[in-house]
Amino acid sequence: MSSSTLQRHPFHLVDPSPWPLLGAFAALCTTFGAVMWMHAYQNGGLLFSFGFLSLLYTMAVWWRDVTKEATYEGHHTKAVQTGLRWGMILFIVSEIMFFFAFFWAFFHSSVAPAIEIGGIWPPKGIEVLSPWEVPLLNTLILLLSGASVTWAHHAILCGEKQQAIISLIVTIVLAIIFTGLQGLEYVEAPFSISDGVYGCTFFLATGFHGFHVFIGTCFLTVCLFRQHFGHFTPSHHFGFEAAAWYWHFVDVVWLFLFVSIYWWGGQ
Amino acid sequence: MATTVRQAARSIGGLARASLRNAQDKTKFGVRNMSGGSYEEELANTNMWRNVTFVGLPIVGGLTVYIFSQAHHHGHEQPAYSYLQIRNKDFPWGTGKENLFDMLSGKAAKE
Amino acid sequence: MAARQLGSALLRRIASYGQTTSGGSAVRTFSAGSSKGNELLEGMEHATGLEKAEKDGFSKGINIFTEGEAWLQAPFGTPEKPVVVTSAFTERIVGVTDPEDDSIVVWDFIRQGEPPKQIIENGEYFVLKQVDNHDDHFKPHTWTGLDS
Repeated sequence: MSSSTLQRHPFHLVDPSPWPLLGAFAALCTTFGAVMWMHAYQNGGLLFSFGFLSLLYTMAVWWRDVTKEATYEGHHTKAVQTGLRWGMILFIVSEIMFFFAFFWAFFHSSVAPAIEIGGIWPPKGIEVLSPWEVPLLNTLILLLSGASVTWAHHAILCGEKQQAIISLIVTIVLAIIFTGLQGLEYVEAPFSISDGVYGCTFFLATGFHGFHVFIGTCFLTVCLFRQHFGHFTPSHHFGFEAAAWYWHFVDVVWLFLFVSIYWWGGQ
Repeated sequence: MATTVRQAARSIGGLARASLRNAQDKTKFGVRNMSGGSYEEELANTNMWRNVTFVGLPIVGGLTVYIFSQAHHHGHEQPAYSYLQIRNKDFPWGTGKENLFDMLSGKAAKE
Repeated sequence: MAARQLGSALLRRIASYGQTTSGGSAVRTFSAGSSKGNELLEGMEHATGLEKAEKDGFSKGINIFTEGEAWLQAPFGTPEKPVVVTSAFTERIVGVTDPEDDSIVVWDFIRQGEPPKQIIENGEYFVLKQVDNHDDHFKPHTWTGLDS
């Protein structure tokens, strides 16, 4: 590329892409399909499945394009990376607000329990999960995964590619164990999402957290592959940093869930 | 009027300047964005966090064994309070009466 | 006691692990004893396109995005001796920075045939002078800050 054809500004003006439109269409099908499925409309499950698979496809190809633009086309200058940082920060702030709402619902129902549930929390008739068994173990697992993802970050920063791969694998395995243990807890739980406001707030908050753990696991797995293919350098690895930020966010949400819903809300 | 507009522009300009400086001046090329350390310092950090991980792994492993070796005590039947087992409409899976995790684990079929 | 021996053996293994991997990574982007200057170029083997141009420019100590910008070099323009702004057309947009905050640029038109124009209070005066319509005004911008 000759110098005269290079752009005179550091910003990335993206090419036209079909993915925003396809993503929006897939999200529409997913939400309509989910509502139709849950209300027993004909073919609701089919529309939901179609929408969800389209959504997954869009996510895969869109992020494939971003990786291509960053690693193989060199569009991610320092200014673009700053933009990506702000984007990720704003995304995580919006996620904090998302969980803030669920904690609000939980404390609204639990701080002054309604007379209909016996005026006590947990409501009369609810046998809660003990916080000092699997939830405590899950807390330690997530804290440990926070340490191992920090290990991965420092390994990338000093170019230790082998250690970066090992530490990412450790983090991902811990994440999968966490999800497995949460699944076990859900199966063992003596209450369900339809057991009044306790089941409702419990499964809404912990379920969405579990879903975020799953997203974070996928994010870290993509980073593992990108590390394996040598995409990350000590000075440019924002994809990994974003995954690490996201992972720490998921970790912190769990600490709040553990302290308020499992521990304080389980006495 | 013009002064007010200029003052407003100045405060907006301050923000713009802050983010521009952030983009162009502070974010130096090659300087690691989340650490200011040299290679040796980074290697020390890497080793420290690797050791933290390797110390944590047996602790978590031990706690796992301990917790799963404890007997689970499951409670007694509860009276059917009106706010429990709410089934305003059928679930979209199975027979429509069992919750998702009971169905997946086969707990519902046994009962 | 056996458990303790196993434990210390494990710790030794962990400790030696770091040493074996820290020395010999074949594709490391900079050497362990590198100076600050070399560290700034780490990761170069990856960069391509604009990112590479940016990094190459930085290694020469220039910001390729601001290099070669046209700044007007002229004495302070007074009503008697205004700054002469040249243009191929009958008007040109000129920006002056706010003296209290140089991040603010106030833009205005300077038109052919108008008396010396001041854009901000206590600022400079400008007049427009139309010049020959050189071909290079219509060429794509060429710029030589980055020959490598």
